[in-house]
Parts: sequence; structure tokens; C-alpha cells
Amino acid sequence: MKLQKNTLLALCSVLEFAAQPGRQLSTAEIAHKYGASAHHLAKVLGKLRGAGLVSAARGSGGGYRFSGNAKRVTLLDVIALFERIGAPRAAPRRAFERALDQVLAEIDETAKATFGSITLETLLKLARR
Amino acid sequence: MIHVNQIRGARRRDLAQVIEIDARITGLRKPAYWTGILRRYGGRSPGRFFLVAIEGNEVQGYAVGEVRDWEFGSPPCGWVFGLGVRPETRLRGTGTRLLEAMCAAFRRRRVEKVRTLLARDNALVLAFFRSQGMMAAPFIALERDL
Repeated sequence: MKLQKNTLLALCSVLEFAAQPGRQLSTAEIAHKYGASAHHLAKVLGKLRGAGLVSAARGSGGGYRFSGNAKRVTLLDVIALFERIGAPRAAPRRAFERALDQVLAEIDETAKATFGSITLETLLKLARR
Repeated sequence: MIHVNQIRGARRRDLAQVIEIDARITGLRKPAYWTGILRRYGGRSPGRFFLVAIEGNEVQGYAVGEVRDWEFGSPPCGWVFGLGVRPETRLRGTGTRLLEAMCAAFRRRRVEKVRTLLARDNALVLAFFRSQGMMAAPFIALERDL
């Protein structure tokens, strides 16, 4: 199971914000920590902002702060903003392809259930263990 | 914030409320099933537990579990196979207290692992068990049509 670079950056960013809900963090701070370009991260944060997970902080330094509900937002909610797990594939015609497709769909369903069952708060707890 | 003031073994007089809570969650009333659960898990059977969370005189939630030995080669471990909380009193720690009490009962039986099995589309209860630190077990549940 592999997530796209953007998705991973979004997950790490939203966790950074959720871990310190009152604090505003600058794009540069997060970009530096995760080795991403500030321009790239700004696009990712723009999507998170659009989904109401972060809000732009006013005042000196700018940046963003967490505005979601860490007890309710799941990893799947964040992932779904950037990619689709189990995106429909073209209907395979050959028997082997159809059978393989069934196995891949099974893996996708398990991945979705896993991501959908882990809230940001649960992941923060896991990281602190 | 925890309001439940007692976790104890289920009694016959709790059964109607347990049936009602389960019916509200699942949409199905199963009196015969719960009567059987009380008979098999409600007494002092070693390694079997049917617990209820009480607030005032009202049952707020229930949990059912047992210690299973060497199932599919696994050393004895605790299984939680039923847990429900009144929908209107969720997010008050009732489920957490029930699971803690169940885990304490398992520990007294000297088992070191607790497991459960859930439908993968049951996001609410999956998220609850995840929030309690539970991770995927090294098993895969399989089925087929008969």
C-alpha cells in the first residue's frame, strides 16, 4: 500500500496542526520539516483549508492553525481530498484479469476500512506511544 | 466526562434494556439470543463475561466477551464479541469503561491479548476500538457462500 507524495504531506501537515491545535504554524516551518517546497505545500494546505481542516491565521507570521475535529476526522477523510482508494478500473474482460481484479478490490476495501477507522486523535495517540 | 456509576455482571432484570439498546443499534430485536447470552455468560462461568454499565437504575451499555483457548493455534486470549452503548449517551466514556472492565476480567484470567471482530463498514465501532489502542490482528477473516 502506497500513498501519493501529496497525500502523505497532507496527512503529516494536518497531524502537525492537530497535535498543537491552538498554535499557528507557518508553511515554511512544515515545508522544512518534511523536505517539501513551500510552493508545493501551499497547494496542499489550500486543499486542507477548503475542507475546513485548517484555517489561515491572521497577524504576524501568518500561517495556519487546526480547525477540524481531531476526534471525528479520519485518515480517509484527508486521503480522499487527494486521491481515491479503490478507484474503479475498466471492467476486465479476461477471466484471470477479472479474478485478479476481485483480489485487488478486496485489498482496497480493507485499506479503506483501516483508514476510515483511524481518527487524527487516535493516530496522535499512536505516535506518542 | 464519565457519568456511569457502576459496571457489573448482567442480571435477568437488565435483559429488557440490553435487548432494547441492541435493537436500537442494529434495528433487530433478538430476545432469544440475549436470553441465551445471559444463560451462558451471565453467571459465574469461568472466562465468560456479560457486563453492563449502570447509571441510576438504567443500563447505559453492555459488553460480552470470553477467554478462548488455542483457537486456530492462538494462545489463550480475550474476545469481545458484543459491545453497545445507548446512542444518546455516547461520547461519555461508557464504552471505554466497559472495555476496561472486560480487559481487567481477562487479565485476571491471565491472558495478555484482547481481540474483536467487526464488519469493515462499521466505522463507528471500528473507530472506537482503534481509539482504545487496538490494531489489526495477524489474522484474516474469510467466508464464502454456502
